[in-house]
Amino acid sequence: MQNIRVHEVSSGMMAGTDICDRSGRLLISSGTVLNDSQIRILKTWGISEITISGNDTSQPLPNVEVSEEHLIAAKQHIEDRFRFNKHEHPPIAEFERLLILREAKEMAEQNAHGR
Amino acid sequence: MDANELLKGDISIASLPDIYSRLEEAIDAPDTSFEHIGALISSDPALAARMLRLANSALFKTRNPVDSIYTAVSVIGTKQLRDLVLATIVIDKFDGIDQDRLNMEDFWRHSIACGIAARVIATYQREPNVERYYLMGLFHDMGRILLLSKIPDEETAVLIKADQQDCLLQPLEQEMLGFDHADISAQLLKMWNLPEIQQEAVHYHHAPQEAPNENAAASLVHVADWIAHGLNYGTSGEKYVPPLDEAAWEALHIPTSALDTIIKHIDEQYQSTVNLFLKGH
Repeated sequence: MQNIRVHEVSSGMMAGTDICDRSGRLLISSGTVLNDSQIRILKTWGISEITISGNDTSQPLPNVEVSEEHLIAAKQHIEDRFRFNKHEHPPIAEFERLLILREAKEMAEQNAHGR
Repeated sequence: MDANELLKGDISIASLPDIYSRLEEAIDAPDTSFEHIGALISSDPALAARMLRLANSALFKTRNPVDSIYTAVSVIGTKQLRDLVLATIVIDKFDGIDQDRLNMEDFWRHSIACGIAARVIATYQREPNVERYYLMGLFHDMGRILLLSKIPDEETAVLIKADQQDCLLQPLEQEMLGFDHADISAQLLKMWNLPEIQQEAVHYHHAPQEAPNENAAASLVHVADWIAHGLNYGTSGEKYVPPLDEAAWEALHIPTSALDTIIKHIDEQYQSTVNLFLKGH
């Protein structure tokens, strides 16, 4: 386990603890092997430092180019659709997190294929 | 207007096709053979073809292709077969009654997603007959279709107001009609003599804590509906994700970390189930 700055994190590293945003919403679960788009999420959410687990797999995962704009747009859309739900309630926060990632990825894929 | 009056006297809605009652009778009888059930299914060629495709689908992981109804019956199992036949005939029965404000294919997509979510959760809970939960999910919003066909002006006014004022449909139905689509869904299942657990789970899918006997089943359908709305497969006319009832979530004992896996299982089954039930629509 070691703490490192987010700009030093590279894909293939494993999150050593749950990573949450300021309101406590889970962004990345402990044990997740980080890929580029997840690292971008950390930057988007303003996380400055995370704990990395000892076994660095250094195996970059296949990923599409998810931009910050995609993430922000997806976040806005999902939060609007969940406006009648308590965003901070753990299962709701987790579901929204998964849906934001899913939608941002879909946007990125559509972008990639549309060109 | 009373929810109980809405469906009264409508024989075409109140009754299920003859084949279903004959099948149910055969399955309940202790000495019925697979051959007999196979013969019953074969008497309806379209249904037989559907069951063959179902037995060959990813839902049943068979090693060899299933090429006879007899084998299909044994692969699917008689109780599950009954429930899947019911799903098939109900979707066919309500085919082609498109409404101005609700497309039937979209409606079934949401219903199928909810059914699959209910089945995945029930599997997670190690429930013995998971197809039963599939049906609850599939039928939970049927009342919406019946409202749109029985009192189109009133229900359309609800849909328009919800859209204009950005509010949830179900509370608005209660406010404007005095009852909601879930009341009507439950009425329908009652007319069809489906088990009480299914009637209640459907009736209370927006208020699982109020279910008198079947709290657990109502909670399961409630959460399945919430997930189906979140995944945004199809639509039942509702624009927003209805609020998750925290007690219903607690009652299911699903760890939050399992949501990811549950969604993956739903995704895996969704497209093949839609192809199976909505093909040609």
